[in-house]
Amino acid sequence: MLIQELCATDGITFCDESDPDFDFKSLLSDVMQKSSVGHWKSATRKLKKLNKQYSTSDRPVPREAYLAVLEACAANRNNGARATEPARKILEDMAESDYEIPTDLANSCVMNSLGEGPGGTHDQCGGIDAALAMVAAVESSPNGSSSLTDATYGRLVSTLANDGAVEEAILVLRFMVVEKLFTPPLGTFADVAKAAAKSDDHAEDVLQVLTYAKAAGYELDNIAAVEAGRDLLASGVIAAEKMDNLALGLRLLTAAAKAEGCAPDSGDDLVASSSAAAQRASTLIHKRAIQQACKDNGWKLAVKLLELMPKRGLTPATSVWRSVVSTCCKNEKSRKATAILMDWVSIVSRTSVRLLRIIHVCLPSTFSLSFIADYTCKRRQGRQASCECL
Amino acid sequence: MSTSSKSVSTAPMSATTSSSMSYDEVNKLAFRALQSECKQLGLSAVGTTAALRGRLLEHFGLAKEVALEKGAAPAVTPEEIEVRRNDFTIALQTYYVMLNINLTLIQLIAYSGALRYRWHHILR
Repeated sequence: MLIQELCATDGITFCDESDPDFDFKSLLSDVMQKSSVGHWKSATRKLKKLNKQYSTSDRPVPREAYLAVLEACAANRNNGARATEPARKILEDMAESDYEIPTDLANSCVMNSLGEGPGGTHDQCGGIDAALAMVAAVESSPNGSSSLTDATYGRLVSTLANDGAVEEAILVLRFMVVEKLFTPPLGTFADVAKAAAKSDDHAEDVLQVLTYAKAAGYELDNIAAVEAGRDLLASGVIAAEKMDNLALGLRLLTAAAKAEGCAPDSGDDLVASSSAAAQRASTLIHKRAIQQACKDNGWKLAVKLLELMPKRGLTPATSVWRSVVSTCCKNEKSRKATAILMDWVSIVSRTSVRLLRIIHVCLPSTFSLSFIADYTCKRRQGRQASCECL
Repeated sequence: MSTSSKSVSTAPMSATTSSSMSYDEVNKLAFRALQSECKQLGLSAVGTTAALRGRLLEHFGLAKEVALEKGAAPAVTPEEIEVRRNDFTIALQTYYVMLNINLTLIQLIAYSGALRYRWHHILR
């Protein structure tokens, strides 16, 4: 009782006449001031404090404050990607507060958060995760579904593909083509197809990418006219070889050959020689297809494929030449066999290999001997034997 | 747009398992790791980082911890409010008493000093 008597405050009343919003307004003013001079770190810290300590449901942080800080963060390519995380947080806060996000700011933030480093980072800042989070935030904001452009999505897809995240890249690509009805540039498809063809367990995904390219409006018979299209077809050829789908590989090369605008070269030649992997895949596909044709006794197909190989810049192996010659001999096609042999000789002599070596290789073959004898007889009956020079 | 898949290579989630994730571990997950984790647990993998994180925390029963850490006021009964008010009053009163005692002591010390000064002059 004594204490209460001592502490009695009779006759004293307290009256707070200060502005209850003073702290909020003061901090908000600081945020705007820091943003206006481009001090993004300070502005971000103050905005966070404003959001956590002073904002209420009746007095939320205004959209202008978010926009001012976001602009400061997005300046100079997200300030060298260092301001990516604050920008992501602001975009998420804006989406949560149901504030509309300006299109140019959203696209700029997402694009500039992606770099060429591992994980899509730029000097270990930003990255794919931040970009995907931004995309999710923008899409969940009011009118956000139409904010991001195809260039932004395309950059995201290419970065995902270059980082080896093929499945995610294909998902975003599908979203672009099927749901957004975009027509991404061929380079985007080529990046994803290249990444899928590079990995062992994603070869089938290349076919999916080709399907999306068709769905986006591209014709496979024309895309070889541009480099990105040739890269896409080359990835298709590599995937076809991995899947042992010979028909698909040959079909893609034929499609490349049909493309106009590759003069003086032909599209299939350019596709087959676009990379070491594409050249190897093309050679293997032709070799296997010829061997299969020889096995099925299809001399016409075998000869046709063999004729295509030099046109596509591919060098047939000795076994391939021999198989075709043998098949022709089996089917008593001596003229064709001679022509093939002559081609073989000319190609090998052009590549400065000794002629004797070829004769040494081909002469032991019973079929070769029989066809030469047969052909010599026939030719003697009519015209001069041209193969006697052998 | 959902991009969750199993082939997330860059996300730091390899050290954790779905059955034993703490609040800090959930908070450390990157966006793709959050999506992947949500998908593995059969939760929706669509939404912002906060939404995905909230789903995971709720799944692991850590949502209450989040509320407390965010500073949200927990539910308090009127009895608890009364007890806290009494505690505060007692603490305030104790403070006043201590202040009074201190003032008294200071007065005593000053008075004794003055007396000593006076006696010093008288004795001279």
